[in-house]
Amino acid sequence: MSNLIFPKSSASARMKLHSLFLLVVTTSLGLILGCNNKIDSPRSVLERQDSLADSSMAGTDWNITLDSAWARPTKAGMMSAAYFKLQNNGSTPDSLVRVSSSASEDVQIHLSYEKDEIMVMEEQPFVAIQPSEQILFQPGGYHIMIIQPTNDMNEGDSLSLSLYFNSGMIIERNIQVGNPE
Amino acid sequence: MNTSIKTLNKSSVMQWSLLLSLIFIQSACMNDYKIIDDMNDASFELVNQDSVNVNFPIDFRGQYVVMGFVYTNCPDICPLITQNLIKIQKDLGYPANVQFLGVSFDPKRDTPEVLHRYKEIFKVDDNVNFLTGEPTIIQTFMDSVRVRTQESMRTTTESGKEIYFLNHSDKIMVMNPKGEIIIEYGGSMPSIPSLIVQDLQSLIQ
Repeated sequence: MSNLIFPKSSASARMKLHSLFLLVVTTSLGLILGCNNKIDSPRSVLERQDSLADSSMAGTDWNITLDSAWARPTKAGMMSAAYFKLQNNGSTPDSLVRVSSSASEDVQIHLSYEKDEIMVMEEQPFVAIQPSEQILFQPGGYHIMIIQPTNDMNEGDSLSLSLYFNSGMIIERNIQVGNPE
Repeated sequence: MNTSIKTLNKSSVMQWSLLLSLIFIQSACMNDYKIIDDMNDASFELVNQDSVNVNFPIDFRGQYVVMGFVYTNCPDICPLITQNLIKIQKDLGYPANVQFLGVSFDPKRDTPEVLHRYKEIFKVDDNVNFLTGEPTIIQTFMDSVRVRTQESMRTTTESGKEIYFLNHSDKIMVMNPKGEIIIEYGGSMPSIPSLIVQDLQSLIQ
């Protein structure tokens, strides 16, 4: 029976097996290394079993930047959302755990995604960001929900946004109302 | 002689068949819109953002209707659906014979006053209306167009406000002047306006 699987030239078969093994190992390594710098889509973040990033090394090498921030125009008492790009240029992982804003007392981290042809939105207790990782907060994905702002948010207005990380670091920024694109 | 006539007949029959097939295929491709939902038996008494009574679909007979489904407490997806409606209207050149509707599936909170404020945020023109109604009527309406909703999160905020959110279908539909829904797309995707504009332009011509 084994002859059927490994016919007479068993040396050649072994060579083929070795080649196959090497191919699998190199492909896997390539995939692992290649995925290190990927931009996370909401779905992949959701599927990854997130855990709070280890902040024990947070210190001088902490370097998370926030860019391209904007908030959706709205009326007082209604809803808005803020979007931006987070980039971890440091060497330590961290997690965004809380957000506050001058626009409202109630600001939450949310994620929108599609599941079984239904749009779902869920509050996120935290969003982990690994070294070299970029996380986009964008329409249809991660966003900061600004619940019932005190005042109208018109295009061109600005509001403050504070992002609190598990390491204790805070990013404070004034962001514009209105999509710059 | 008989053989050549037979050959000629066969050949011309084949040519005619080919021509007819091409005409059939072309016409089928030009207007191949299946009826997804026939709304002719329906009659929904709704109200718009200015508290004007609206009957759907009776008040819209004879016009194309581009219709999205939203709720105003939705900060992320529904503004995308609304923006897509507005973009379709703009890209079509604000046609007078096409009506644009945003129908709320959260009638308890989306009163005409709230919808009026929502409309102001998007600075849209008179051919865009936001509709709401009695919760039971809205539920029947949503069932008839297969828009699903479910309460997802009920939470008390840090300042003590009780809020809830809805999971929902993501759709924009086109209803033709006969009251038949003939096109249905995902509502919030950025690629949707150009597809709907293309379809509507071929229909309106």
